[in-house]
Amino acid sequence: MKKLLIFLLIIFFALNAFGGKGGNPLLGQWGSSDGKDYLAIVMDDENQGLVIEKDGFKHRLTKENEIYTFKNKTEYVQVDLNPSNGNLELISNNKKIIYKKIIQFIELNLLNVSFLLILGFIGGLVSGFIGSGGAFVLTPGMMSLGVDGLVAIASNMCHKFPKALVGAFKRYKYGQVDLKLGLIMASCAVLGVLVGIEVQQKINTTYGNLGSDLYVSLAYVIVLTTIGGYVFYDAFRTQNSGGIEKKSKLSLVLKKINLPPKAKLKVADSIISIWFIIPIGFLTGMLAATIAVGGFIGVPGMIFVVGASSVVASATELVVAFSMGLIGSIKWGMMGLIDIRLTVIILAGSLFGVQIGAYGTTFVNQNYIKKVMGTIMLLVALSRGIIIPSYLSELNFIRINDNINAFLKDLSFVVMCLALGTGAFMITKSMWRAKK
Amino acid sequence: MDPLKLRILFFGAISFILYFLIFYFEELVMHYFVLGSWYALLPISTAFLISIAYGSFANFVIDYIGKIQEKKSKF
Repeated sequence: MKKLLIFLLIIFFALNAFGGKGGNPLLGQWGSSDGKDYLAIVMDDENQGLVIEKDGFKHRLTKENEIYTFKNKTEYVQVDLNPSNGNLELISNNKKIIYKKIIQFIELNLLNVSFLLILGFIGGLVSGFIGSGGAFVLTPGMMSLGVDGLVAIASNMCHKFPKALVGAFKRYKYGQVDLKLGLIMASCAVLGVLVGIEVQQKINTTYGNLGSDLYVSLAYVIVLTTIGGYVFYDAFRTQNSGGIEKKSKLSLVLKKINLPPKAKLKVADSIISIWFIIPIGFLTGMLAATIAVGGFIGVPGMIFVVGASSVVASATELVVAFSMGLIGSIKWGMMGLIDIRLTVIILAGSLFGVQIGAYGTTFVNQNYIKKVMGTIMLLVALSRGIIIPSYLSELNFIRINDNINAFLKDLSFVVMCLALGTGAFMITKSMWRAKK
Repeated sequence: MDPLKLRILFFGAISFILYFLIFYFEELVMHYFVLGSWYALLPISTAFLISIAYGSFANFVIDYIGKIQEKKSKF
């Protein structure tokens, strides 16, 4: 079993090294809305800059203050990517032509299929055990195979809701899901997702793609370091006091506050005002819209505020993940961005993983779930922290050598894979020990 | 035949057919599934179907492996 796990991890990292990195969002083929005019933006031969191919001519794109321009026969033309709808705009002399991206779906081969299967399995395993996870590696992982960024997000989202459904069902059978808590959380989370997307778009229109990236990375580092650190600290405190999980002090204080309406949560064994559940659900949705892993707020929120045990919190989070995944999939599906082939391949791995992870929760120490979650959160925070100097340099706040820049981006991705790999390793190890 | 094995075979066969159809008619699927608007129902319902068929298959396989291990540990 150990050998198999090591083998899987080696293949996982080897396949990772094979794929190229996701490129500039301008790259690709674009068609005008009437379908008569086409253009392509490609990398030049030295892989140094962008070239636009239009009407049989090639023009080099120059970048100044985050704005791309090129010169055709008579005038300078500005090339803009509209962040709210993903359209490309060519602006010259107050004339604007709008192009839509012609999405090219990748060719599948044995290498990328195996990569997606393994990624899906590990993501599912972690997700079944701690209620969330996997999404933060799946999207960049797919992009490293050459999948368009939006298609990667959409296909990932479409695999999330069936995975969460199967995981939630399995854990419901074990009596770990508090359906009432899950449904209250889910309805607030959907609202949170909508607000989160608005905030993202505002930042994108004001500060551009780099501003968004920086915002996302800062959100990762601040949220995950604080909560992850606390979850970890709490896990060790519980371990030192005999390993029996007690209800958090905060939840006991909140329980006493008589603020109607109150929800009687049988499985979570708590009676608490709905007004304290709403913000957790809302923030879970906002975080999901920002960094794709809402569970990193949802699960600790349910443990420390509602007073649910780690097992019930991580199981109930799957109900929330299902609702958010379904709404998200409808949104992306209506834009025609879901590559069902990628979705079903990931599902082939993750539907197995999620059930093994769920099974694992039935015989490991409850406190162990916190340890796994805290470890993954801190490693993911580290991964995003590594990349911040790179964004700051691209925004011209600091200066960094291009090579170091590229190295930081690669290192960040490797640490992120390591986060998922470590989580999967800890889960498998605990199950192996428990079985013995 | 063991009912668990029968279930594995049944859901395995359905999952196989679903996967086979998606990849055999890849071009057709990739044409209609990405048209957007109400066509969004196609990828979403497919993912849903697969989660039921393949999810049940995975569930029974895991149960079966669990059973074998239980038997082993008894001896």
